[in-house]
Amino acid sequence: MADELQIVLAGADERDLTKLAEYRAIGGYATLEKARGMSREAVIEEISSASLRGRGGAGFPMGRKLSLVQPPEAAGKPTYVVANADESEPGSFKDREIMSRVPHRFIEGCLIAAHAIGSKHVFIYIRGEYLAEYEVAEGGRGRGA
Amino acid sequence: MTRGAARRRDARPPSRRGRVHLRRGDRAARLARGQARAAAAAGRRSRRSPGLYASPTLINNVQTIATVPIILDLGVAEYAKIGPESSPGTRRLLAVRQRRAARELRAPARDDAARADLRRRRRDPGRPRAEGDHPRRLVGAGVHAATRSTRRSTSTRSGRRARSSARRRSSSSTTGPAWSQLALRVDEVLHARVVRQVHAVPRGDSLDGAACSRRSRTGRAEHADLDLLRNVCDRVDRPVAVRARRLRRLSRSRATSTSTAPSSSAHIDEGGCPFGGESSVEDHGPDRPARHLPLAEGAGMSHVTSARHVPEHCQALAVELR
Repeated sequence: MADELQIVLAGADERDLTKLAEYRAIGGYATLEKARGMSREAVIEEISSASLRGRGGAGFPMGRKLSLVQPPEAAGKPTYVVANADESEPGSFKDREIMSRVPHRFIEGCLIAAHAIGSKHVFIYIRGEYLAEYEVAEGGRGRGA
Repeated sequence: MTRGAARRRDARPPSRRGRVHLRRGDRAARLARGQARAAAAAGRRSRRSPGLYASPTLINNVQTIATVPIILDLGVAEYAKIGPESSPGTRRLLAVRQRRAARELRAPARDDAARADLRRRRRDPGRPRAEGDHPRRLVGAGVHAATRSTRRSTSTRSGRRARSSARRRSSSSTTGPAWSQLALRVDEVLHARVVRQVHAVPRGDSLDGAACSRRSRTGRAEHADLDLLRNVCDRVDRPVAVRARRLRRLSRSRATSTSTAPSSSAHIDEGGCPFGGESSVEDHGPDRPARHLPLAEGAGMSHVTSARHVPEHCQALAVELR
């Protein structure tokens, strides 16, 4: 069997990516800076071109979803990003692993999405049982956000 | 704290460019829709609204959001080379199967010290063990005995009663001093996290993870698809337990299943299984019962949206398939 290809969890086997310094060592948050150097439209266009589909089940194209969110200037209201970290499907723990092993990648994604829609606030809704992940995310939030 | 509501936690002072709020939900909150989650994130009971605080809101899953930096980092062209053309990138899949005797993993619900111990151990699952400190030997014998004695008679009413009774016994046996034994068992399972990262996804293999997933969703999974998963399973030398379900044992309430695919729900309601009874994973090991192994797509859990399709105690592993 060939080597495993890890994308979302890339680097997590070699380093403790729950630590900000470690994540930065592999280029973490550089993408956020890059995104912030781009216009919102350019970020949305990039995500749309990548044909990223929602991994929550419905498979809705994320780029389209981003483009459907009215920017705060047009809406006259603030916009928000909500990350669904509830993972309420029985037996599922796919998101949990992401949160526990690469929390900063997740937070970076949240901040990029926030930039794309002009949001100043990201809400991460995490299920009650995920004690350790909550603490990891809390730690990551304090250092990375 | 009311059921379905979220726990507020004061956000830290805003950073230069924004603020991240972390809201921990009530355990097993009955939230099935994105809007309801938005409401819960805002710390109020779920009710329909156009968005969080009635404002434009982007709601996405963790896995989706975590993929965004990858796209910007790799670039669209490179990212498009991963996975199928219709939906580039990777998806995480869960292979779920029946697991024996996992009851000893129950943890006291109100024992704060025990929970703190769990948290500590979860942070450091790789800590060295003392000689002879093997969890399998230290798990409470009463729990094992209870499990063994009732497994044979599950089809009769008396069998069910006995099993229920055994469950109560096993649950009560986990409090107090037994906790240290349980924690060791938890350690054992958490060690599997390391193991799980070892298994390989066959990049360049003729099997396409997405196609495998698609076929399983439509009940047309082939033996080759299942062999892929079996190969993955075989690389795990110890049962890998569902950590999410284990921690759910800390909760007093049960999770409500969430349906994300109506067709899948209907499929389950009809008693269907994606493998249609032809799974080559059935005969997985000599010490495991020959059982049908439902496959759940992690992204959406298309076939595990019903609790009865997820055994109370099961084992699973997650893989990232392209």
